[in-house]
Amino acid sequence: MTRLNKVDIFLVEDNEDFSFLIEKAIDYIDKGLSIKIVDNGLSALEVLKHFDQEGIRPRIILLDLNLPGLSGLDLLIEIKTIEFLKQVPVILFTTSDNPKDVKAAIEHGANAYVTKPHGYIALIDCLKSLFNFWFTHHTTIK
Amino acid sequence: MVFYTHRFPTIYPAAEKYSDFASGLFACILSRELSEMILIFKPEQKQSINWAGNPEKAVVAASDGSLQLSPRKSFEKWTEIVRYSSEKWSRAEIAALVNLREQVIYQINRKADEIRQLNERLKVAHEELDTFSFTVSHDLRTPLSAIKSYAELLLLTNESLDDNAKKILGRINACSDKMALLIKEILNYSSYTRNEIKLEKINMGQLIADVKNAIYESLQPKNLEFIIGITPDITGDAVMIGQVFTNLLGNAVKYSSKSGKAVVKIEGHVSENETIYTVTDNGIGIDIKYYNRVFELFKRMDNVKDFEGTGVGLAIVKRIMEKHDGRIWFESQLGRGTVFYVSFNNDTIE
Repeated sequence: MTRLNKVDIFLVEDNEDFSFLIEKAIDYIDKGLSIKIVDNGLSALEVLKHFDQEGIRPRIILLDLNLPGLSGLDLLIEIKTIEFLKQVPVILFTTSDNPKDVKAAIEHGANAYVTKPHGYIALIDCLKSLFNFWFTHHTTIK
Repeated sequence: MVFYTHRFPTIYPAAEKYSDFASGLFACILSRELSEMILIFKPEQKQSINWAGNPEKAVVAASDGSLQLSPRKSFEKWTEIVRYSSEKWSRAEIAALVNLREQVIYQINRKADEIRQLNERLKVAHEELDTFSFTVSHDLRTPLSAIKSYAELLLLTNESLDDNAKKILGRINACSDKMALLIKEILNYSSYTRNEIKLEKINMGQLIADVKNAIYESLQPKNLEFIIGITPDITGDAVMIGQVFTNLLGNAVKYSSKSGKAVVKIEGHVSENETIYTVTDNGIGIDIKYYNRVFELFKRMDNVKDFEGTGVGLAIVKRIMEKHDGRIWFESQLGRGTVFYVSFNNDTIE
């Protein structure tokens, strides 16, 4: 793992297309934003615990729902027990618009539930609005 | 469980009329819940019984009230004809009939089991179809979305693209939008198949006014006369019925939009058993040759190429009408216009 001193966006996404496109979109929005992508629920949990030791706190966490290793929902539950990450907004970012998934996510403390938009331009707008809201309203400690 | 007599009319006098063929009765119950029985009859057998003297005169009351045996005057034979009775049920017959009953019950249960199993298999198939719908929605939409995104990404960020490349990427974009729409329509159609209907009394005047407003907003028709006649209320699922009239009126407006002055009319008629709504337009019409194909999923007629659409609307309308035990049919003349009829049963109105 390359040594990071700052992670703005922590993305857990197993679909290569989506992670590629989201990375491109974030780069397009602001080249200064740093992103860390993990493609497995279990490894994501390990990386986050490692961040804890290193003192790296992401400003926002984006989780897919269907993930290998640990589902997005289970990962959410685990993240919410980590004291170090209490202040970090966790957002479910998924293709599922199943009301059951939305309900479960919100019940387990997700800060938002966002369905992935159709297309790159819509994706840029969607991420922009997410960052605008969470980076200004939810000040995180450096 | 089992009852039998060889003198049925004497127990049940109303049966005297049928004594010729029903003087003997064997009855057994198959199902108490369904009141199902097996009844087997035996014909009357007029019996001659020979007595040594008239047995009914054997005892006579004396003037002081005591009973006396009347002395036989002779040993002459006395013959009585006994009516309303059949040959007696023999042990062998009763055993055979009880056995028959068991056989019938066994066969009924076997059939019921087969139906139950068939029902289970249908349920499984239905659930698989549900899963299939979900797979379509999830697994097809995800890569499709990626295709569109890549095309947009190239268009947005690659400055070295020439006009031809931009045009091709634009086509990829448009095609993926079309396919996304078709997937959405499949899911929409299947949701009407799966969902249970919730019957309620529908204020049709309000519903049609709402549908009209929505159509004006989305299609923005020009030079259209939209006539709403009488709108008798019906009983149905408000959401689904809203969809029926959105699709029928939407089609009427869409396919008459190139008719110069378009006229679309909706009205309802109440007859003894049903309420029939008609939607009339002066649009391009439907070739009657393809009468049944009009209601098939994704089928569009040759003359609608210049109109946007996916060929799902009328399939949904037909499906909803089937769910309401209603009917749908149409009359049409190419280039002149179409009349769609939908009928709803009145007896469902409380």
